[in-house]
Amino acid sequence: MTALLLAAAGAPLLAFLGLGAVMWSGRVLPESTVSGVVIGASVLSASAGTALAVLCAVRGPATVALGSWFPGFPLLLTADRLSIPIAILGALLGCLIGAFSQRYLHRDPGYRRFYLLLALFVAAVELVVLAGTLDLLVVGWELAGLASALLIAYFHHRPGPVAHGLRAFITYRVSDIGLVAAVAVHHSGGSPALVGLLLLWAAMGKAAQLPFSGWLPRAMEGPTPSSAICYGAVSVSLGPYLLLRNGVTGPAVVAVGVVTAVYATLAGRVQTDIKSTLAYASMTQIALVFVEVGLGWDTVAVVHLITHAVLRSGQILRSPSLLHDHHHLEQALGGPLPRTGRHFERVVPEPLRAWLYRFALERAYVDAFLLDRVIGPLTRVGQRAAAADDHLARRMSATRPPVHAAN
Amino acid sequence: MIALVPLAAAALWLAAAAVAGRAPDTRSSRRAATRVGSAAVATSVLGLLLPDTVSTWQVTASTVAVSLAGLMVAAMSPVATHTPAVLARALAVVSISCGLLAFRVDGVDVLLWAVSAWLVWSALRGRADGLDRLFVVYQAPAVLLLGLGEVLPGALGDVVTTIAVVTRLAVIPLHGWLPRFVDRAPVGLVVAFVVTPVPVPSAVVGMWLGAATALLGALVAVSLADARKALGYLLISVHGLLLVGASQAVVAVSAAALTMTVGAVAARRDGLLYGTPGGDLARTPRLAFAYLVFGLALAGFPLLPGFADEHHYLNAAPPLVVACAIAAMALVGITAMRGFLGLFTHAKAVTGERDLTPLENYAVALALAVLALTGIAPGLLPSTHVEVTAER
Repeated sequence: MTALLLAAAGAPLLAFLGLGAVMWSGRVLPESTVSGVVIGASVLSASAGTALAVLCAVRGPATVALGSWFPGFPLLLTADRLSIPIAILGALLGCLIGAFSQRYLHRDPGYRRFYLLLALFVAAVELVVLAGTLDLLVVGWELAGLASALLIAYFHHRPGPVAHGLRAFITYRVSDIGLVAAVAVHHSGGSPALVGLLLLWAAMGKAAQLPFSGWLPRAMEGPTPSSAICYGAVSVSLGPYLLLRNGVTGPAVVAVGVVTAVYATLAGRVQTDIKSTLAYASMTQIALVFVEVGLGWDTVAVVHLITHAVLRSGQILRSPSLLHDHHHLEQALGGPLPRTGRHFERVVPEPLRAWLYRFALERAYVDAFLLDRVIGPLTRVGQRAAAADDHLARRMSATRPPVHAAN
Repeated sequence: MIALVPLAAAALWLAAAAVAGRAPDTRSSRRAATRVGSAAVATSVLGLLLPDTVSTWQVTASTVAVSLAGLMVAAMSPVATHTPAVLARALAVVSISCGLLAFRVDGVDVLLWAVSAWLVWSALRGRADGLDRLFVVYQAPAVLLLGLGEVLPGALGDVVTTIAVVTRLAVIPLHGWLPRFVDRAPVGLVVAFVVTPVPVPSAVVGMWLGAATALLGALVAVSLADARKALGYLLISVHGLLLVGASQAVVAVSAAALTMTVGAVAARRDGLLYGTPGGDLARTPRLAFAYLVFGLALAGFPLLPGFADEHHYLNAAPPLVVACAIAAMALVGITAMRGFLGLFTHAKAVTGERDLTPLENYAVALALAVLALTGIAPGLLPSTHVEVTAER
């Protein structure tokens, strides 16, 4: 059991560390070697996960102690009916995305960087899923956020992906505050309700629930294969997983899920590109999983998570061929596809429809509010403080401020 | 009492300073200093295996951290801003930092602080921007207060010493000198001065002050669009975390590595505004990766030593202090990523910017190896604070 758990969690991490060391040394490995290492590590992880599933079915769930990483940090890995399915899913999707990207990113200048980040992402997910303590879960959680943000910013010559990668990372870090604080409160013997709320905060960021939802549609600017594994499938599923693992339920979780589901389904209907539409569809489904988790329907939530992840990954991987598929469908039908959404026209009154359309188009004004009322003022305070410091330092240096020539 | 390992390291760094100062040009000065500095690092590491009665394991590990920072100064100081004389002064300050770990004799620490401040001031003297004056306005009283703190008895002495230390650490509101110092002084001098071990006050008020400094410094750092200005506030923020309980050795290595990397980028460009003119992480992968890892090390990221360190001190702090420290580290991480994406992306055309030179690569690789090793095996880290002065 110990060896299998170590293989499942450690193989992708070793692949990442090994590839990273070789790449730092300046040696340029062939594409096939790089992708082979990452796919091989994912296959090993998936195989170990499958063997663990069999063992768990025979002997029951188990938690393995691997000693202490450092004083006060026990290393525990756990294999049970919650962790094993998600671990297998993460590793299998790692294999699938690795194999798909061999052609999709062939001769791309960032090919090796992509696989390095994919290995880091799969390793992080396995660590989150198999972690037996909240402390160890934090390690995988933060690494997953880093890999995810760097994958969004993969096309680094374009300003859009870079800005969106930063936005995702900011959201992750803000929500990570909840997770680290939950660990601190847990260690100090604080109230379980507070720990639950902090974990909910962390899960909302990773799963793109309101008000942390703005990063998900923008994250689709990364390479399609990474969008498929991160934002269609595994990354957004880590939020509900965190709640399931720690038994966080209740009306707050349900409320977050309901509000986000309504918001995402409205916003998704006015998107004009397929990847954004799929992003909002993911957000809607994950919000429904939040509702299920909040209601305590754990088994339904796990099944929903896994089926959604598989379906959505397939959709996102297929999305670059949308027009091709659309033409095929029209040819098969012998005419244009029928319009969708007529039921809304029947249900929603005419005056409300325009307002709803604008509301959805502006993404419920959430992003604008956060930017204008939260981030903007904080940034201005920081900049003014720095300017005041500089002014004071100049005066104390007894030098004249720079004179700007008047034109 | 005198600890032998830090003393040996101090002597070697003094030799490095002498060698660097006598070199005919900056490039040969850097090479020669790096050779002697490597010997100092090796001596410190050997000291971990051969502890004497006075140098505890923690003191020796702190000596390794200071020596590693010194090696980065020797190998990565930009040629344009570090004449042999400036580099020699910076390395002499590193030697004094090792001396602070070596001597446990009353009054010696005050003397070493004074010499260290004088060396930096002498390298800044005569600048048109008045940076030397600003430096003296803060550092001269700090040295005097440290001396006064040693003389005054009881709680009053502790209070005076604390004021001296928070001035040296640029803790808010006594931080006014550091942002300008980091922005304008040669980076080698900045690193040498900033990594100096200080006697961190253990009073609760210091912890509160540290938490507020960590949060405010990080908030200002994240809002700035200039990497070098942001670095100044990042250093203020991590100095705040020192007061909360962070390890000086971890902060010294991470801060030195990040500062020298920023210096290396600045030496290749006209300015360090994010996105203007932008860089290309595909063409300077080592420089970009080093910037990101060192920045994340300051933010206590997993698999880097700051993570275990954070785990230790957060368990011992009051709740509000913990909240401030967690938020500060989140902001430090955002600043690191913002700097990484702002400095190494957006290139519109081939910039011709050079990746790390072999000498820079040597120092960066060593720092990365140490960070990775202590990140994966945090048991190698020294305990939070090492006593760097005689018992009061």
